Amino acid sequence: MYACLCRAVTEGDVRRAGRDGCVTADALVERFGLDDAACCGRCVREVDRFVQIARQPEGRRPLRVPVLPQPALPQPLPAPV
Amino acid sequence: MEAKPGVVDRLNAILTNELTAINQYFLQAEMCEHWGLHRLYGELRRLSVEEMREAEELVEHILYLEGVPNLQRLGTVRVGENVVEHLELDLDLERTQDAALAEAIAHCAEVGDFTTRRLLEKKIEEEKEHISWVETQLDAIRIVGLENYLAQQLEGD
Repeated sequence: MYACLCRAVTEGDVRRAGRDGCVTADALVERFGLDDAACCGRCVREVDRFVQIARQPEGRRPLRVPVLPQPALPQPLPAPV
Repeated sequence: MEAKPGVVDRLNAILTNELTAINQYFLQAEMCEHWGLHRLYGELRRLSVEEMREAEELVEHILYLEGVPNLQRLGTVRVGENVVEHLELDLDLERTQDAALAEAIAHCAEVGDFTTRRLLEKKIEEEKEHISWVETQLDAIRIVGLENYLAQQLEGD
């Protein structure tokens, strides 16, 4: 999802920034311009959320919708007696 | 008519959720339109308009109670990067609103504001319909798979 709509920053962007070493609140604010006048300011107040995401391992968050189990393959009929 | 204590604050909190929902559904709808999912666009846009109508009712009721509707405050508009994320975030939003409405209804009963209680009971019913719609979409994705579901959303009604 979008972590910051004002700056069009996705959670993936924040994780990538984390991989590049941006894992502190100040570094993330600087990197994404969260204290910029064009930003509504909500993200600066809730910057801990960004820090949490930046420290998550890389890769997409798995979708919560579970994959349906595959139907069992048809079994061969028993041999006629 | 003067409001009973705590009622206007609760109505304003519910109004904030409604205003957030208007924007959230609206943006998600437009993103779906952009992705070519015209049917889903129509559905999400319908939800956005319904939330606006509900916000209108709330604003009118707050004014009736001689309160000031707070249209300044807006919650976090949460949008996903794909359809499943959109729907999951909508479910969170609707469940938050459902809990706020349930608490406000109990409060209204406690302080004896039965007019507001009736209005909120109508609203909680509408919100439950929204929750049900979102849950149905997620169930459908689970049953037919995401690709099949999205293929069904290409044509608008």
